[in-house]
Amino acid sequence: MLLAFLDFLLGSLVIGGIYALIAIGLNLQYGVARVLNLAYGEFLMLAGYAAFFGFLLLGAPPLLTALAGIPAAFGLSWLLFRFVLHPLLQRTGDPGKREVDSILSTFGLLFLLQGVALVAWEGTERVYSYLSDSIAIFGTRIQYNRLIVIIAALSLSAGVFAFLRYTTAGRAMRAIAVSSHTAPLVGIDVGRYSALAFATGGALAAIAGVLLSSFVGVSPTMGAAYTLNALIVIVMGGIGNVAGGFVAALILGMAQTLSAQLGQSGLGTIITFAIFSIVLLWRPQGLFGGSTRLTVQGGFRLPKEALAIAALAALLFVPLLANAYWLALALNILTYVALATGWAFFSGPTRYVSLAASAFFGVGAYSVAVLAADYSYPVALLAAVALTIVLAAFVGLATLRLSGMYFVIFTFGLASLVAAAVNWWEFNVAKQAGWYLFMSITPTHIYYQLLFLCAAIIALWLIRDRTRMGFALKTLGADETVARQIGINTVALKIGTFIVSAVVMALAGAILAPRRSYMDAGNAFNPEISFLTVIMALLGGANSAWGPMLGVVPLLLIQDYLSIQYARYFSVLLGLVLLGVVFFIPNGLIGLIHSGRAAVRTRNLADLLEALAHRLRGGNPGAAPPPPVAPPTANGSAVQRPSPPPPNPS
Amino acid sequence: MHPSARPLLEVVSLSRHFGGLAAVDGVSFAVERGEVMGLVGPNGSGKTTLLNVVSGRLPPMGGAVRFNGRPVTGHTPESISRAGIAGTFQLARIPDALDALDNVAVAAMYGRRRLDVASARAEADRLLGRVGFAGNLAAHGDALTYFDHKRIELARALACAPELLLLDEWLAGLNPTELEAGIALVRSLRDEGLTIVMVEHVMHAIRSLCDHVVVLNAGRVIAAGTPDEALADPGVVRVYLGESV
Repeated sequence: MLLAFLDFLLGSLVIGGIYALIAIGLNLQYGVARVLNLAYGEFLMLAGYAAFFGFLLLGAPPLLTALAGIPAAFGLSWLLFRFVLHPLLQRTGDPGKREVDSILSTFGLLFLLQGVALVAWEGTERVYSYLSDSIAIFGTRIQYNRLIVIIAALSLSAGVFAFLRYTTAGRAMRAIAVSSHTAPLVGIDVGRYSALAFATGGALAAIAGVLLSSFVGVSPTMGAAYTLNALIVIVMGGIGNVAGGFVAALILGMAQTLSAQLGQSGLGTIITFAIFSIVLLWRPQGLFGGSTRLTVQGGFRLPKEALAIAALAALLFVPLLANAYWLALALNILTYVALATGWAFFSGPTRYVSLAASAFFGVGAYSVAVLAADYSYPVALLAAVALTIVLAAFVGLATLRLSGMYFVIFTFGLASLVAAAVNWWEFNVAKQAGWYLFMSITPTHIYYQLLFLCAAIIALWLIRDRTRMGFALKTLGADETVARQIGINTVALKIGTFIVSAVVMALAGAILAPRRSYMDAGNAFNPEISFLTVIMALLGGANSAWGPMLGVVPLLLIQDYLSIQYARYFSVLLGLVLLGVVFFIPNGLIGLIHSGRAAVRTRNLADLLEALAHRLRGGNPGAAPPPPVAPPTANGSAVQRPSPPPPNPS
Repeated sequence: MHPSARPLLEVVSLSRHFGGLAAVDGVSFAVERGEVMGLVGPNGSGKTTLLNVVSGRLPPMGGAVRFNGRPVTGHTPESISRAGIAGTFQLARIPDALDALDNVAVAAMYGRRRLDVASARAEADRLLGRVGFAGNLAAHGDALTYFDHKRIELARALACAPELLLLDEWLAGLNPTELEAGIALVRSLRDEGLTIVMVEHVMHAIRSLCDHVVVLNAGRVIAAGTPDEALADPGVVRVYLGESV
């Protein structure tokens, strides 16, 4: 009994130690450099590959790779921050916009790096064996490579803690974390120390990756799970709290070790999220305190709609005219119009970035797959809606009372949580994995259902824009404090809107499900769907009912072309597309149309072209001469105000 | 005097600290219906924190707030707004996403009245005229002057149809002409029967508008009474001007 407990404790220390290392690194990147780096795990993955190939090709022991890798990862992260992320974040003075930009650009980076790894090293898991002999400790045995993890995690955590506490640079970083507005007033170079913090975070990820690779296989898709766990650790420990993060990492390590020892690894994800939810509901400032920041702000515009209604009407005749190929393409387009519009219905005006489209889409599809055989199709649809309402209400209650970051983290992992829950249910209750669908629903039926869904969500959006609720959402998106001050129940408004958005995405999955003949948890909850939905909505413009659909067609065509011509580079190229959208068309195609129109109205074409050229060069407004037409603000006006200073607590 | 015996707003030994700093430390006072109360004190004495706790933006850590005889301590900002307390921010916050008219109209749609869009806009138009806004109703935040922002903020607070109006340095930063207009406006609101609590540094405005004042220093009440009494208090003079030699 005691021996088993000791085993459990050592196992928890290994996993917890890795989580502590990456959580500290991510904490530095987020707390100081203000980048919520969703591609963090990809740095860990790259370091794992470096260790693997170093060992395989050069016979270099991983510890040597770690030593060489620290400066390399530090330098690469520094370059990434200095030349990519920092200019992007400097582009706007609006902290909410900055937050959204950092999330979206690192989400693109995630797919880009994952894609590069897939192209270079294939999808198979690579394993090597190093220092896997074991040593006896207190009667139990532990392998050397795991012992090294424990020692390294403890000493590095203590090192970072001491660095932040006792050195001038560490003190400067803590000052920036507390207030990046006032830090420059006491002579702190925010840009320099932010870059330093970001680079240090990258180096810690690299060390963790090398250590991890000595006893866990490396694969191109391994990173996201570590990013998610690190984010959860940060929230549990309190943002900016290194010691709290360490304890939280150990708790998470224990939970996951326990479920692994019980032989139920899927349970680990479920337990992790259960702990995360409890922390969010009970102590959102973290178990050990810390600061919560972030406001979410945004802007909006409404386009003309008569033309698009005519187009929608014309779409009624497509099944009568189209052959099977065109009908299939139309189904694909309508599915993504429903997904992207449904996504933007919530995320556009509120600026809460949801990465959970595939979770809701999958819930809808899976409900039909499981229920349609024994019950009727309408019953399955109703069940899908009911399940989605419960799930979305739960996510909303846990996260939407708080700032946007918690919501992003939760939705980032939601698809894998739901997939794990489904696996667990199939294994323990249903005793069946994978479902065959035999349904007599024709593609034409599906087409009309999807068309109705798209028309319904767009109509709902347009109606919303004209009622009190539209005004409330605009106010909420711009300044939640003001919204509450004038009597708007913002929490109820956010949760209600999120539920509607989730139901639309789930219905898209449920309606499309009969197209498939077989479904399991692996193919139903495909993260690529979340990714595509977000890029399409952003490319089109997430702030109006018509925007998202503008992004669907070009991206589906690109996707179609890429997946035939360059299947191997698919992920890389899509990652680049998302980065490009975030950098060059921040308000979407519809925003480009509006700003173009506004600029032509007030200025001549030469000015407009110059402005466009300036934006494409990615000019820094501080260094370069001011652009003749600044990036359009919400109202299309060309003047940009600095954001107001933080409120004085006196 | 209103027939009801209880004051409109009662604040009872209210406390709020930030870490070790006691921003508001056991503050008590009462505001009668129809009066204008001034809240004064040096920078950092806790005036804005006090308003933030009363309006629900910050939860208190001790004490109680009663409005119309009912406890509202620690309620959400939206429920306090609907109970009848509205206010302006120390630094005007006018979302760019809406134009001048709609920034006011949205408060009439929510707040206590819950008007539909058309009537809310009509009401907003009326209120913007009431506060002397003469700019373009379709203009957005960045095209408006500082005083316009202040006027929109006030009109937005009035659109909530409050019984109690909290003004946080609403007159600060106005030029002499604007200041006189601002004082006349606040006076006319009082004459209409609105109860007002104003945080202000402009002593001229305090003396000409307030029925009584409460002086805060380091989170505590150091004097209270009519403006002439309270501002002449030796403790208040010491806080503002330093020790007399």
